[in-house]
Amino acid sequence: MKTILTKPVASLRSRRVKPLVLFTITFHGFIAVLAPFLPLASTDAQDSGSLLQGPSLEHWLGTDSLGRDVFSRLLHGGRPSLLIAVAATLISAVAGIVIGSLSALAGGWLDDALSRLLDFLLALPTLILLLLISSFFGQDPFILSLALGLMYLAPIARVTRSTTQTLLARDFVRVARMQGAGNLAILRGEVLPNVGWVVFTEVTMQFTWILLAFSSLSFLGLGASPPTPEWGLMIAESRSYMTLNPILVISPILMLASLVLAIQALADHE
Amino acid sequence: MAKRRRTSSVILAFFALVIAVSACGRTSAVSGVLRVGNDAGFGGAETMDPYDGNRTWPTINMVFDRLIGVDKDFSPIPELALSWSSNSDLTEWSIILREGVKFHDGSDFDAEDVVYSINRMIDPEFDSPVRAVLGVITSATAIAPYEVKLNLSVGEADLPLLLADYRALMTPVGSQETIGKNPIGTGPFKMQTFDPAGTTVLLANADYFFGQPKLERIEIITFADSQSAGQALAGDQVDLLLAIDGKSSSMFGDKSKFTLQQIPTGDWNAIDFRVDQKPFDDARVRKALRIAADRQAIVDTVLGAGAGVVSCDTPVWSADPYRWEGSCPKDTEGAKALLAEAGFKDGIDIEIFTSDVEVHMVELVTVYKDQVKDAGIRVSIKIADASGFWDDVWMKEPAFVDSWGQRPATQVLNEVYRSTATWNPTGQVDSDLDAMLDDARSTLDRDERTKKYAKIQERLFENSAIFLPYHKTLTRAMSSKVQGIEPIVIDAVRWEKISVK
Repeated sequence: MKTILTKPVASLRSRRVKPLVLFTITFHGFIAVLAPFLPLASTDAQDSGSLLQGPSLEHWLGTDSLGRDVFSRLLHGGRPSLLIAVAATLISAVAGIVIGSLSALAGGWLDDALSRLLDFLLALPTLILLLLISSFFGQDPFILSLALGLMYLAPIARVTRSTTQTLLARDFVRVARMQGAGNLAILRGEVLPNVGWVVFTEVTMQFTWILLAFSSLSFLGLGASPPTPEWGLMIAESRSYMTLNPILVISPILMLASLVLAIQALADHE
Repeated sequence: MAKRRRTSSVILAFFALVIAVSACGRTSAVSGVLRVGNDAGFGGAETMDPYDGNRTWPTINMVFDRLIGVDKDFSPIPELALSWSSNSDLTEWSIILREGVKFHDGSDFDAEDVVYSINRMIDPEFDSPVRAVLGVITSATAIAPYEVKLNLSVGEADLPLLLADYRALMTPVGSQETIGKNPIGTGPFKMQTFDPAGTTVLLANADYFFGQPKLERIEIITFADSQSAGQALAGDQVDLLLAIDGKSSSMFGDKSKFTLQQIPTGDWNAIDFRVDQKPFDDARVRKALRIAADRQAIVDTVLGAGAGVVSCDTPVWSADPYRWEGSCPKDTEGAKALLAEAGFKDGIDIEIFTSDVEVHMVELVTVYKDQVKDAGIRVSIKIADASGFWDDVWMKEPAFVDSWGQRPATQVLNEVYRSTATWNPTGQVDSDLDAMLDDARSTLDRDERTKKYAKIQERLFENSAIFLPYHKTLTRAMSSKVQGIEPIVIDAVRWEKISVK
């Protein structure tokens, strides 16, 4: 059965994605899922006797300013961002695809109105708006996911709209119309299965931006709350001690950067 | 030969002229700029009016003077006042002023200025935070050009120390409307540019009565948070930070570049619970929240080992003669029992607001959360924007982290715990405590007064809504170019004696 993901999955299989990219993504996925089950030190256990220690056998990456194990916190640190990013990306993907395809199929005033709405969303200063939302509504994960999802839907909607418009002019769609297919049937049977890969690429890219946006919010103190291990928050908590123990800042940066770069490489891979 | 001699003479004369001109251009010993890093705690709403809640500190102490200062032992010493005395029941004080002192605009400082300043401080309509300290003064009268009489509602043995409050500064008559932006004081530095969100520039007051300042200029540079201020000192963007996180002091370990000073102080952090908000309206919940934590572990983790002194919810610091040394070990079972009695058998969920507006404020609540979880106290930490913390969160949210500077016992108890105090952060009204405060302050006998202050502090441990686990040992960091700052509390620092090599 042909679905929206048929083409992307087949394409992914056929492409020679570099092993390093696949390894990085697999590694992050593995630790994000299994970190709570691995034999690691507690992420919250404080030890006043070993503050800001360097790497040792007991603490592989040393300890932070409250004596917590940095290695354990690092492996757990992607979970909050990934959870929020997955939820927000699902929201932006569903909303973006619906708005984009509806806009292309309906045309006329509805297309104009939706296009202006997308222009408006694209013109918004994302991080500033997120800071405002977070200041007003707090650090609730549901609200943050919703806000991020709505703010990052515009590029997905635009790509969906333009791809759908191109498809609507193709012969097989015209034939389907002549055979009496309605808009919904055309959308389901002809458009969605064919926009899959393009939209998948865009969705993947937006996923990385959302990931970075949430970590930035945490860095600014308005994303994850202490003592949650989260990469952006870990960087913020440790920046005062950057010159004393650079691992505290460098390790979460490397984790975040490697994940984002790997996902973007996957999306871009030709 | 004669031509060569003439040429040599011309060259010598030229150099002599250059040296002479250079010497004329110098302004005696005044030279150098001190760049002080400061936080942006009021989000740019700071004012130079020392009696206003948004006063910008320590800038006000560079521009204005008090009647009475403090020495390194925190004992009262003359500043604008030369001497003081009281009647036998401590309700009437006479203050003799220093003559010949001038404000920055050239006008004379005299008794009328003192009367004007004190009337503003105690004006109930203006409701200055200083009123909580000096509200005991009912009237100020100029009885001679350089003598003032103060009448008190109750006897106050420690009035000289109260007048040494860092905000009890003398301002000229009629300055209320302009002082916020264009301050005119008698202090060692005059205001040139007031920019609380950017860089405030002060120039030396050559006519300062304690002697001409050694610096030409002070720049107060505002930073969004303590971390960026620390990086600025490390990068030679500022010369002095009044307080840094002791745990990062090794960052400034290069003695050829930096000087560190460790100063035991009365500065403290706390977690405040608003008694007008549930569940903190219940005294049992408040006590449970205060006894569930291991205070020594909090000191060692938040400040670092040896960087603080445990306090059993008393704001009176360890070197103050009125300090009560209680015992307050972690009591998990006691806390659980109190919570169960208050209807929280399954534990309690609370939110505590904090911010990195000052060092240790986020760490305190993070460590507290870990400490009290055994007692079934589940803390959710809310981080507020540093720039508006004091205006938007402090005293407004149900529970929040607090930070206070050193004050003498009589002052801090009246300023933070008196029911009517402007800066009573928990909103707690306790008329019995107010009566105890009045009684203690008007007791003539020192030993008797000490006992009464101890009783007050015991009462706070039983009933207070403020969890106060420690007093800090302050770490001050500065460039090694900075000279003349003694390792003493900032209230006692003489800004005119500071120089920069």
